[in-house]
Amino acid sequence: MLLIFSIPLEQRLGIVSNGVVFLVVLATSFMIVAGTMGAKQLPKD
Amino acid sequence: MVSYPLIIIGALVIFSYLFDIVARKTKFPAVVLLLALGIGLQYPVAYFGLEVPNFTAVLPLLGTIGLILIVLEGSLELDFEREKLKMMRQSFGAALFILLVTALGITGVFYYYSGASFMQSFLNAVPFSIISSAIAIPSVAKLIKAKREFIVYESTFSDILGVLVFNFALVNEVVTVRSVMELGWQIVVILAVSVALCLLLLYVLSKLTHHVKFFLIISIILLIYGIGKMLHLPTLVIVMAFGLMLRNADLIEVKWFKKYFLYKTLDADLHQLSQLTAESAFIARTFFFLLFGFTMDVNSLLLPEVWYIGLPIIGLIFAVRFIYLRFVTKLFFPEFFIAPVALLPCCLYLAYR
Repeated sequence: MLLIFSIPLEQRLGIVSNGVVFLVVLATSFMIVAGTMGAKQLPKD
Repeated sequence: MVSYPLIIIGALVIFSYLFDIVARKTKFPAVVLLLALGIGLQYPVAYFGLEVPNFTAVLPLLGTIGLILIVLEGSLELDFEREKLKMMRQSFGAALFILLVTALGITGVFYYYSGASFMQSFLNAVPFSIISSAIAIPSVAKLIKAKREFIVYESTFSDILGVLVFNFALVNEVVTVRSVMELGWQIVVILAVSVALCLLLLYVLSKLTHHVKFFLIISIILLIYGIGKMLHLPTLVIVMAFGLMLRNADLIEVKWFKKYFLYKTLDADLHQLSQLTAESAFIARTFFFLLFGFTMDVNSLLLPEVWYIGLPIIGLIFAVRFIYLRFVTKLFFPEFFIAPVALLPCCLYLAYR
Protein backbone atom coordinates (compact mmCIF):
# COMPACT_ATOMS: atom_id res chain seq x y z
CA MET A 1 0.00 0.00 0.00
CA LEU A 2 2.94 2.31 0.64
CA LEU A 3 3.83 1.88 -3.00
CA ILE A 4 0.43 3.30 -3.98
CA PHE A 5 0.92 6.45 -1.97
CA SER A 6 4.46 7.07 -3.17
CA ILE A 7 3.63 7.32 -6.88
CA PRO A 8 3.71 10.92 -8.13
CA LEU A 9 0.59 10.91 -10.27
CA GLU A 10 1.08 14.41 -11.62
CA GLN A 11 4.20 13.19 -13.43
CA ARG A 12 2.29 10.42 -15.12
CA LEU A 13 -0.86 12.31 -16.09
CA GLY A 14 0.94 14.91 -18.11
CA ILE A 15 0.48 13.93 -21.73
CA VAL A 16 -3.00 15.34 -22.40
CA SER A 17 -3.73 19.05 -22.51
CA ASN A 18 -6.82 20.63 -20.96
CA GLY A 19 -7.86 21.65 -24.50
CA VAL A 20 -8.21 18.00 -25.53
CA VAL A 21 -10.28 17.29 -22.40
CA PHE A 22 -12.49 20.28 -23.24
CA LEU A 23 -12.96 19.23 -26.87
CA VAL A 24 -13.90 15.64 -25.97
CA VAL A 25 -16.29 16.78 -23.21
CA LEU A 26 -17.92 19.24 -25.61
CA ALA A 27 -18.30 16.71 -28.43
CA THR A 28 -19.77 13.99 -26.20
CA SER A 29 -22.15 16.53 -24.63
CA PHE A 30 -23.45 17.50 -28.08
CA MET A 31 -23.95 13.84 -28.92
CA ILE A 32 -26.14 13.52 -25.81
CA VAL A 33 -28.17 16.48 -26.99
CA ALA A 34 -28.64 14.77 -30.38
CA GLY A 35 -29.63 11.50 -28.70
CA THR A 36 -32.05 12.89 -26.14
CA MET A 37 -33.63 15.38 -28.55
CA GLY A 38 -34.09 12.62 -31.09
CA ALA A 39 -35.65 10.38 -28.45
CA LYS A 40 -38.62 12.75 -28.21
CA GLN A 41 -40.93 10.27 -29.83
CA LEU A 42 -40.49 7.84 -26.95
CA PRO A 43 -43.64 7.63 -24.88
CA LYS A 44 -43.56 8.81 -21.28
CA ASP A 45 -43.82 6.33 -18.38
CA MET B 1 -19.76 41.62 1.73
CA VAL B 2 -21.93 38.59 2.46
CA SER B 3 -24.85 39.71 0.29
CA TYR B 4 -23.16 39.33 -3.14
CA PRO B 5 -22.25 35.63 -2.78
CA LEU B 6 -25.76 34.96 -1.46
CA ILE B 7 -27.33 36.71 -4.46
CA ILE B 8 -25.03 34.86 -6.88
CA ILE B 9 -25.58 31.43 -5.27
CA GLY B 10 -29.34 31.96 -5.10
CA ALA B 11 -29.55 33.15 -8.71
CA LEU B 12 -27.45 30.24 -9.98
CA VAL B 13 -29.60 27.64 -8.21
CA ILE B 14 -32.74 29.30 -9.61
CA PHE B 15 -31.18 29.19 -13.10
CA SER B 16 -30.42 25.52 -12.61
CA TYR B 17 -34.01 24.88 -11.55
CA LEU B 18 -35.25 26.70 -14.67
CA PHE B 19 -32.88 24.62 -16.81
CA ASP B 20 -34.41 21.49 -15.30
CA ILE B 21 -37.86 22.71 -16.35
CA VAL B 22 -36.56 23.50 -19.84
CA ALA B 23 -34.95 20.03 -19.96
CA ARG B 24 -38.25 18.44 -18.96
CA LYS B 25 -40.09 20.20 -21.79
CA THR B 26 -37.44 19.97 -24.53
CA LYS B 27 -35.39 16.87 -23.49
CA PHE B 28 -32.30 19.07 -23.89
CA PRO B 29 -30.01 17.94 -21.02
CA ALA B 30 -29.86 20.45 -18.16
CA VAL B 31 -26.19 19.66 -17.53
CA VAL B 32 -25.27 20.93 -20.99
CA LEU B 33 -27.14 24.16 -20.27
CA LEU B 34 -25.27 24.47 -16.96
CA LEU B 35 -21.95 23.97 -18.76
CA ALA B 36 -22.92 26.61 -21.33
CA LEU B 37 -23.91 29.05 -18.56
CA GLY B 38 -20.56 28.42 -16.84
CA ILE B 39 -18.67 29.14 -20.07
CA GLY B 40 -20.85 32.21 -20.71
CA LEU B 41 -20.13 33.60 -17.24
CA GLN B 42 -16.42 33.80 -18.07
CA TYR B 43 -17.09 36.78 -20.34
CA PRO B 44 -18.87 39.22 -17.95
CA VAL B 45 -16.35 38.27 -15.24
CA ALA B 46 -13.45 39.12 -17.58
CA TYR B 47 -15.19 42.24 -18.96
CA PHE B 48 -15.86 43.76 -15.54
CA GLY B 49 -12.52 42.56 -14.18
CA LEU B 50 -14.17 40.75 -11.26
CA GLU B 51 -11.94 38.83 -8.89
CA VAL B 52 -12.95 35.20 -8.44
CA PRO B 53 -11.33 32.50 -6.33
CA ASN B 54 -9.48 29.59 -7.95
CA PHE B 55 -12.33 27.13 -8.46
CA THR B 56 -10.17 24.38 -9.91
CA ALA B 57 -9.18 23.44 -6.36
CA VAL B 58 -12.76 22.72 -5.24
CA LEU B 59 -13.96 21.18 -8.50
CA PRO B 60 -12.67 17.61 -7.93
CA LEU B 61 -14.22 17.58 -4.43
CA LEU B 62 -17.53 18.90 -5.71
CA GLY B 63 -17.43 16.42 -8.59
CA THR B 64 -16.79 13.49 -6.27
CA ILE B 65 -19.64 14.44 -3.92
CA GLY B 66 -21.88 14.91 -6.95
CA LEU B 67 -20.87 11.52 -8.34
CA ILE B 68 -21.63 9.73 -5.05
CA LEU B 69 -25.02 11.42 -4.72
CA ILE B 70 -25.95 10.83 -8.36
CA VAL B 71 -25.04 7.13 -8.22
CA LEU B 72 -26.95 6.78 -4.92
CA GLU B 73 -29.93 8.60 -6.41
CA GLY B 74 -29.82 6.39 -9.53
CA SER B 75 -29.47 3.12 -7.61
CA LEU B 76 -32.30 4.02 -5.22
CA GLU B 77 -34.57 3.99 -8.28
CA LEU B 78 -33.49 0.62 -9.66
CA ASP B 79 -35.93 -2.23 -9.07
CA PHE B 80 -34.24 -5.60 -9.11
CA GLU B 81 -36.32 -8.14 -10.99
CA ARG B 82 -35.47 -11.53 -12.42
CA GLU B 83 -36.46 -10.29 -15.89
CA LYS B 84 -33.83 -7.55 -15.59
CA LEU B 85 -30.90 -9.96 -15.22
CA LYS B 86 -30.41 -10.05 -18.99
CA MET B 87 -30.36 -6.25 -19.19
CA MET B 88 -27.90 -6.07 -16.27
CA ARG B 89 -25.60 -8.59 -17.96
CA GLN B 90 -25.88 -6.65 -21.20
CA SER B 91 -25.05 -3.34 -19.55
CA PHE B 92 -22.11 -4.87 -17.65
CA GLY B 93 -20.76 -6.44 -20.85
CA ALA B 94 -21.16 -3.15 -22.71
CA ALA B 95 -19.43 -1.19 -19.95
CA LEU B 96 -16.47 -3.60 -19.75
CA PHE B 97 -15.93 -4.13 -23.47
CA ILE B 98 -16.35 -0.49 -24.46
CA LEU B 99 -14.10 0.66 -21.62
CA LEU B 100 -11.22 -1.70 -22.42
CA VAL B 101 -11.31 -1.48 -26.22
CA THR B 102 -11.73 2.31 -26.24
CA ALA B 103 -8.91 2.70 -23.70
CA LEU B 104 -6.59 0.54 -25.82
CA GLY B 105 -7.47 2.54 -28.95
CA ILE B 106 -6.86 5.88 -27.24
CA THR B 107 -3.64 4.47 -25.77
CA GLY B 108 -2.49 4.05 -29.37
CA VAL B 109 -3.30 7.71 -30.11
CA PHE B 110 -1.34 8.96 -27.08
CA TYR B 111 1.51 6.55 -27.74
CA TYR B 112 1.78 7.81 -31.32
CA TYR B 113 1.55 11.54 -30.54
CA SER B 114 3.40 11.80 -27.23
CA GLY B 115 5.99 9.05 -27.39
CA ALA B 116 5.20 8.17 -23.75
CA SER B 117 5.39 4.55 -22.56
CA PHE B 118 2.50 2.16 -23.17
CA MET B 119 1.40 2.13 -19.51
CA GLN B 120 1.59 5.92 -19.21
CA SER B 121 -0.44 6.29 -22.40
CA PHE B 122 -2.92 3.71 -21.08
CA LEU B 123 -3.19 5.53 -17.74
CA ASN B 124 -4.05 8.76 -19.55
CA ALA B 125 -6.45 6.97 -21.91
CA VAL B 126 -8.64 5.26 -19.27
CA PRO B 127 -10.45 8.43 -18.04
CA PHE B 128 -11.49 9.16 -21.65
CA SER B 129 -13.03 5.71 -21.97
CA ILE B 130 -15.30 5.93 -18.95
CA ILE B 131 -18.93 6.87 -19.42
CA SER B 132 -19.61 9.44 -16.76
CA SER B 133 -22.73 8.50 -14.82
CA ALA B 134 -22.80 12.01 -13.36
CA ILE B 135 -23.88 13.31 -16.77
CA ALA B 136 -25.48 10.20 -18.28
CA ILE B 137 -28.00 9.55 -15.48
CA PRO B 138 -29.52 13.06 -15.32
CA SER B 139 -29.49 13.27 -19.13
CA VAL B 140 -31.73 10.23 -19.55
CA ALA B 141 -34.00 10.97 -16.60
CA LYS B 142 -36.95 11.67 -18.89
CA LEU B 143 -36.59 8.63 -21.15
CA ILE B 144 -38.78 5.55 -20.79
CA LYS B 145 -37.79 3.24 -17.95
CA ALA B 146 -36.23 0.42 -20.01
CA LYS B 147 -33.94 2.82 -21.89
CA ARG B 148 -33.13 4.77 -18.74
CA GLU B 149 -32.23 1.69 -16.70
CA PHE B 150 -29.75 0.41 -19.29
CA ILE B 151 -27.92 3.74 -19.22
CA VAL B 152 -28.01 3.96 -15.40
CA TYR B 153 -26.49 0.46 -15.06
CA GLU B 154 -24.03 0.85 -17.93
CA SER B 155 -22.69 4.23 -16.84
CA THR B 156 -22.43 3.17 -13.18
CA PHE B 157 -20.64 -0.07 -14.13
CA SER B 158 -18.41 1.98 -16.43
CA ASP B 159 -17.51 4.35 -13.58
CA ILE B 160 -16.77 1.46 -11.19
CA LEU B 161 -14.78 -0.58 -13.71
CA GLY B 162 -13.01 2.57 -14.89
CA VAL B 163 -11.82 3.41 -11.38
CA LEU B 164 -10.61 -0.20 -10.99
CA VAL B 165 -8.71 -0.19 -14.30
CA PHE B 166 -7.31 3.30 -13.67
CA ASN B 167 -5.99 2.32 -10.25
CA PHE B 168 -4.59 -0.86 -11.74
CA ALA B 169 -2.68 1.14 -14.38
CA LEU B 170 -1.61 3.59 -11.70
CA VAL B 171 0.11 1.10 -9.40
CA ASN B 172 1.50 -1.26 -12.04
CA GLU B 173 4.25 -0.15 -14.37
CA VAL B 174 3.96 -3.48 -16.16
CA VAL B 175 1.12 -6.03 -16.30
CA THR B 176 2.08 -9.32 -14.66
CA VAL B 177 0.16 -12.42 -13.54
CA ARG B 178 0.70 -11.29 -9.96
CA SER B 179 -0.72 -7.81 -10.59
CA VAL B 180 -3.81 -9.28 -12.30
CA MET B 181 -4.29 -11.69 -9.37
CA GLU B 182 -4.04 -8.75 -6.97
CA LEU B 183 -6.73 -6.96 -8.94
CA GLY B 184 -8.99 -10.05 -8.67
CA TRP B 185 -8.36 -10.18 -4.93
CA GLN B 186 -9.19 -6.47 -4.65
CA ILE B 187 -12.54 -7.07 -6.37
CA VAL B 188 -13.39 -9.96 -4.02
CA VAL B 189 -12.50 -7.82 -0.99
CA ILE B 190 -14.54 -4.84 -2.15
CA LEU B 191 -17.59 -7.04 -2.84
CA ALA B 192 -17.38 -8.64 0.62
CA VAL B 193 -16.88 -5.22 2.25
CA SER B 194 -19.82 -3.86 0.25
CA VAL B 195 -22.21 -6.50 1.58
CA ALA B 196 -21.00 -6.04 5.17
CA LEU B 197 -21.22 -2.23 5.02
CA CYS B 198 -24.65 -2.30 3.37
CA LEU B 199 -25.93 -4.49 6.19
CA LEU B 200 -24.35 -2.17 8.75
CA LEU B 201 -25.88 0.94 7.15
CA LEU B 202 -29.30 -0.70 6.96
CA TYR B 203 -29.02 -1.73 10.61
CA VAL B 204 -28.00 1.81 11.64
CA LEU B 205 -30.92 3.24 9.65
CA SER B 206 -33.39 0.89 11.37
CA LYS B 207 -32.13 1.77 14.85
CA LEU B 208 -31.87 5.55 14.50
CA THR B 209 -34.58 7.41 16.34
CA HIS B 210 -33.13 10.92 16.01
CA HIS B 211 -35.13 13.10 13.62
CA VAL B 212 -32.01 13.84 11.57
CA LYS B 213 -30.83 10.51 10.21
CA PHE B 214 -30.52 10.66 6.43
CA PHE B 215 -27.68 13.17 6.40
CA LEU B 216 -25.90 10.88 8.86
CA ILE B 217 -26.30 7.97 6.43
CA ILE B 218 -25.09 10.12 3.50
CA SER B 219 -22.15 11.31 5.64
CA ILE B 220 -21.20 7.71 6.49
CA ILE B 221 -21.29 6.90 2.76
CA LEU B 222 -19.05 9.92 2.01
CA LEU B 223 -16.68 8.81 4.77
CA ILE B 224 -16.50 5.24 3.44
CA TYR B 225 -15.98 6.54 -0.10
CA GLY B 226 -13.20 8.87 1.05
CA ILE B 227 -11.35 6.12 2.92
CA GLY B 228 -11.79 3.77 -0.04
CA LYS B 229 -10.50 6.41 -2.45
CA MET B 230 -7.45 6.97 -0.26
CA LEU B 231 -6.71 3.24 -0.51
CA HIS B 232 -7.42 3.33 -4.28
CA LEU B 233 -10.41 1.02 -3.94
CA PRO B 234 -13.50 1.30 -6.16
CA THR B 235 -15.84 2.23 -3.31
CA LEU B 236 -18.49 3.39 -5.77
CA VAL B 237 -19.53 -0.29 -5.65
CA ILE B 238 -20.59 0.24 -2.02
CA VAL B 239 -22.65 3.31 -2.93
CA MET B 240 -24.45 1.46 -5.71
CA ALA B 241 -24.91 -1.71 -3.63
CA PHE B 242 -26.39 0.27 -0.72
CA GLY B 243 -28.93 2.00 -2.98
CA LEU B 244 -29.86 -1.29 -4.65
CA MET B 245 -30.13 -3.17 -1.36
CA LEU B 246 -32.27 -0.51 0.26
CA ARG B 247 -34.59 -0.27 -2.72
CA ASN B 248 -34.98 -4.03 -3.00
CA ALA B 249 -34.64 -5.09 0.66
CA ASP B 250 -38.13 -6.62 0.72
CA LEU B 251 -37.15 -9.05 -2.06
CA ILE B 252 -34.42 -10.69 0.04
CA GLU B 253 -36.03 -13.93 1.24
CA VAL B 254 -33.64 -14.72 4.09
CA LYS B 255 -35.12 -15.19 7.55
CA TRP B 256 -32.35 -13.58 9.63
CA PHE B 257 -32.16 -10.66 7.24
CA LYS B 258 -35.89 -10.03 7.54
CA LYS B 259 -35.72 -10.34 11.31
CA TYR B 260 -32.82 -7.97 11.94
CA PHE B 261 -32.84 -5.56 9.02
CA LEU B 262 -36.39 -5.01 7.82
CA TYR B 263 -38.56 -2.66 9.82
CA LYS B 264 -41.98 -1.06 9.58
CA THR B 265 -41.07 2.40 8.32
CA LEU B 266 -38.48 1.26 5.76
CA ASP B 267 -40.63 2.34 2.79
CA ALA B 268 -41.20 5.81 4.24
CA ASP B 269 -37.47 6.13 5.04
CA LEU B 270 -36.59 5.02 1.52
CA HIS B 271 -38.86 7.67 0.08
CA GLN B 272 -37.34 10.40 2.26
CA LEU B 273 -33.77 9.30 1.55
CA SER B 274 -34.50 9.29 -2.20
CA GLN B 275 -35.94 12.79 -1.94
CA LEU B 276 -33.03 14.12 0.08
CA THR B 277 -30.42 12.47 -2.16
CA ALA B 278 -32.09 13.85 -5.29
CA GLU B 279 -32.18 17.40 -3.88
CA SER B 280 -28.57 17.24 -2.64
CA ALA B 281 -27.44 15.79 -6.00
CA PHE B 282 -29.22 18.66 -7.74
CA ILE B 283 -27.21 21.24 -5.78
CA ALA B 284 -23.88 19.40 -6.21
CA ARG B 285 -24.56 18.94 -9.93
CA THR B 286 -25.50 22.60 -10.37
CA PHE B 287 -22.28 23.94 -8.91
CA PHE B 288 -20.02 21.29 -10.38
CA PHE B 289 -21.11 21.85 -13.97
CA LEU B 290 -21.28 25.63 -13.61
CA LEU B 291 -17.77 25.81 -12.21
CA PHE B 292 -16.55 23.21 -14.67
CA GLY B 293 -17.86 25.35 -17.56
CA PHE B 294 -16.41 28.44 -15.91
CA THR B 295 -12.91 26.91 -15.71
CA MET B 296 -12.91 25.68 -19.33
CA ASP B 297 -10.48 27.48 -21.61
CA VAL B 298 -12.45 28.10 -24.80
CA ASN B 299 -9.39 29.54 -26.59
CA SER B 300 -7.61 26.20 -26.31
CA LEU B 301 -9.88 24.98 -29.11
CA LEU B 302 -7.95 27.19 -31.52
CA LEU B 303 -4.81 25.07 -31.18
CA PRO B 304 -4.45 22.59 -34.07
CA GLU B 305 -2.83 19.90 -31.89
CA VAL B 306 -5.97 19.82 -29.73
CA TRP B 307 -7.91 18.74 -32.84
CA TYR B 308 -5.25 16.28 -34.05
CA ILE B 309 -5.47 14.41 -30.75
CA GLY B 310 -9.10 15.15 -29.84
CA LEU B 311 -10.79 14.05 -33.07
CA PRO B 312 -9.33 10.50 -33.13
CA ILE B 313 -10.35 10.13 -29.46
CA ILE B 314 -13.93 11.19 -30.22
CA GLY B 315 -13.98 8.91 -33.29
CA LEU B 316 -12.76 5.94 -31.25
CA ILE B 317 -15.26 6.50 -28.42
CA PHE B 318 -18.21 6.38 -30.81
CA ALA B 319 -16.83 3.74 -33.21
CA VAL B 320 -16.33 1.19 -30.43
CA ARG B 321 -19.70 2.07 -28.94
CA PHE B 322 -21.40 1.73 -32.32
CA ILE B 323 -19.89 -1.68 -33.02
CA TYR B 324 -20.74 -3.13 -29.59
CA LEU B 325 -24.26 -1.72 -29.27
CA ARG B 326 -25.23 -2.41 -32.88
CA PHE B 327 -23.91 -5.94 -33.17
CA VAL B 328 -23.78 -7.37 -29.65
CA THR B 329 -26.53 -5.85 -27.51
CA LYS B 330 -28.72 -4.90 -30.51
CA LEU B 331 -29.56 -1.66 -28.74
CA PHE B 332 -28.81 1.50 -30.58
CA PHE B 333 -31.07 4.50 -30.12
CA PRO B 334 -30.56 6.58 -28.03
CA GLU B 335 -27.95 4.46 -26.18
CA PHE B 336 -25.28 5.07 -28.84
CA PHE B 337 -25.38 8.83 -28.23
CA ILE B 338 -25.11 8.65 -24.44
CA ALA B 339 -21.34 8.43 -23.95
CA PRO B 340 -20.39 11.47 -21.91
CA VAL B 341 -16.76 11.89 -20.99
CA ALA B 342 -16.51 14.39 -18.22
CA LEU B 343 -16.21 13.83 -14.58
CA LEU B 344 -13.25 11.53 -14.22
CA PRO B 345 -10.84 13.13 -16.71
CA CYS B 346 -11.69 16.58 -15.43
CA CYS B 347 -11.32 15.63 -11.79
CA LEU B 348 -8.09 13.80 -12.48
CA TYR B 349 -6.53 16.40 -14.72
CA LEU B 350 -7.63 19.34 -12.62
CA ALA B 351 -6.62 17.65 -9.37
CA TYR B 352 -3.12 16.75 -10.45
CA ARG B 353 -2.12 19.73 -12.57
